[in-house]
Amino acid sequence: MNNQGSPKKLLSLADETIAYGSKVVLDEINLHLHDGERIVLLGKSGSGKSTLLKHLYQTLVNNDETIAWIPQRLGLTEKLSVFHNVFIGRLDQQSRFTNLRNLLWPAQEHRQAIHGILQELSLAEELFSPVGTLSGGQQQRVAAARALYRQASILLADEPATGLDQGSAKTLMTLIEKNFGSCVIALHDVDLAMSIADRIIGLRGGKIILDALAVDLSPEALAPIYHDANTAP
Amino acid sequence: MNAKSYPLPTSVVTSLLFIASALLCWIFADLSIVTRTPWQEFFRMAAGVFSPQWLPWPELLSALAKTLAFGLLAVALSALVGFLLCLYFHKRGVKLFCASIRAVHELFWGLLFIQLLGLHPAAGLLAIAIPYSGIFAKVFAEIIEESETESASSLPPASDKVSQFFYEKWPRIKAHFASYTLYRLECGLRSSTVLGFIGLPTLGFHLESGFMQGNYGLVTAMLIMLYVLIASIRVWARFRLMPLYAGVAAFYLWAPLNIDSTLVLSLVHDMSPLPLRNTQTEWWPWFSNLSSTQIFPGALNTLLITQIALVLTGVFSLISFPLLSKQFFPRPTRSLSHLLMVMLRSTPEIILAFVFLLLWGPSMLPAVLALAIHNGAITSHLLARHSNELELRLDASRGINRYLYEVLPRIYGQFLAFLCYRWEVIMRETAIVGILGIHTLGFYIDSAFESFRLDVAVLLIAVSALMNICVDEVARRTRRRLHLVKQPLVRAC
Repeated sequence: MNNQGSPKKLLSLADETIAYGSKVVLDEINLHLHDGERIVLLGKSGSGKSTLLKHLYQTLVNNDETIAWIPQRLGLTEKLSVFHNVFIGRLDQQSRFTNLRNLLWPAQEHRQAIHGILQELSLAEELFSPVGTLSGGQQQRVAAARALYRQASILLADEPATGLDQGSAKTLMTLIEKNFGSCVIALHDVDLAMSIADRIIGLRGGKIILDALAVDLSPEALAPIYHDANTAP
Repeated sequence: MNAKSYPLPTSVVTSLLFIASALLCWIFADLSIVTRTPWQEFFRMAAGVFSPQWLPWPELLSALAKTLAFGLLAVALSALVGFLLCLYFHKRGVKLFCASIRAVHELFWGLLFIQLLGLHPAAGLLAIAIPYSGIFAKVFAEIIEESETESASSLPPASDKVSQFFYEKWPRIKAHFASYTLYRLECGLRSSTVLGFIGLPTLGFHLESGFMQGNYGLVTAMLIMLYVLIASIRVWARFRLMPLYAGVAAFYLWAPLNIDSTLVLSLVHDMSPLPLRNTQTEWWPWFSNLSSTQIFPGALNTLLITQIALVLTGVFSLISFPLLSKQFFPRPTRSLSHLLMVMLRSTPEIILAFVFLLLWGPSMLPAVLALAIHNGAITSHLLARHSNELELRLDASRGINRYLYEVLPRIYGQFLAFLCYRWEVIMRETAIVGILGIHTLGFYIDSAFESFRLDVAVLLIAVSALMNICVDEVARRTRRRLHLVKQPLVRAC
């Protein structure tokens, strides 16, 4: 753990409300993120996880942080190869010339770097396959590879384990743990969440109803996130 | 390390082939600047642009009304004929017939009918309506084909064909037919203007005399009228009103047609090959002489110009579409570029070619640039529309990186499809630059008409039709190879 002492504060939200028209999607959110924290957002679909993640992304980028980002809709460039899609992760860190050159003909050094990452995600065979020809789970791993290649210290990810079998999901979580100093990940799988999180934030109806260290939480404590307290669902 | 080598995507290979063919053509093409003082002419043109010279009202109104009437009536007629033809488009003969009539440019049809009918309105009407019918038939047939995959028949199986069509297909395709017909109006107005260059009393007639006299003020005024006319289409054009408009146009253009049957017969006689009429002329020397002096050089130049213009069209549109796309530029920049592009694509190629010709003299350069700019502006607009529909990630890169890695790969297939469609169009349009004196097949056809060698003209027209059909076929195969079988949504003229 590296959040002992007084870790740097990455971001603070105080009474933040986001509404689209009259529909409130995030309701008076109070949240502080510190460097070195691994946070998992839990909540039913429509609880505001994705909106909160996007909001965190915008705020952190405005604070000049380099962020690795795995959105729910992957937004990969399907006509381009896996190599190029991963390479996109570092476009802003290289010269235009390098980017143009690698679009036309991938250079050896970049091939090697990206091949290495793909090996860890068991995707090395698909290095030059167009992403559009891959399965959903493979595409999910390409998106993860792009995030890893970005070499950012912070990861924001929205359901990064969708479509992955248990083994791959575990591998991915290990890779995330190893490569990112801090992360905020939206997940629906509670076991997976507990395996990576040191802090859990529960959302319901756009409100934070739980914010606690993972070690202090029992499964019962998570129940209100998914079930109504008194009435049957 | 993996031993895998990077396989170039098919679309990239295709593009490289296109570029290689254009470079090869470049070697043989004459793209020199002939004039010594291009700037002098340029300043005279610029002066003309700032002092438009209006015709007296009656003349101006008559030119406007005739441009409008020819365009409207021809489009209405050809939409009707095209509709009837499209119902039988699955028949091979009909398909081939449509391909042949649309392969001949309206200018050539115009020259032909002016010979037969004199400067009668019917000559102008037929000149536009015949090739347009072929185009309508093809596009309508494609629209029907696309709609057929949507749902299975729900009508009683024994219903007759006519009822089936109007109860089932028509409701689904009507909107597409209507929008394409209205869209084609814009092309019709341009075609009717262009026919002015061979004598029809439309705006083009005054454009041509303006160019000939170096009266650029007149040219500017006529161009402004054309822009206004084209811009006004969206105000008055309604599919339901088309029959009414066509009726008024027919009434306005109507003139008694006195066909001198002996003259027509002698002209038809003149159209048959010389060796057939004159026993002293041998077939082979006649044909080989024609081949080496007209058919071969004309076809070669047509091909050179087409290939170079096609690739330049692609380059121009790839460079310019970001200016129109919301992925790259804010609204003020986009609006300004949009205005410029609308002007470029509304300007008939013949005007652009004429301007460049006056600036740089008669080489292939004016032709190539005129075709590339006009067609590039159209493709650019389509690409920009397509790119505006893309939804990119929150963390998508900006500027050139966004262009290269996010937008271009996503629209490139569409881009190649657009180019394939422009291929045939560009080749047709080389006819236009021919009548300006650049030695394409169009040039030799025009000269054959001028020297009353109608048999040669007809033969050359047939050759150019054949070339068009070939290019159309190659384009179709290229599209299929790239799995771009579907017609892009917008069909530009």
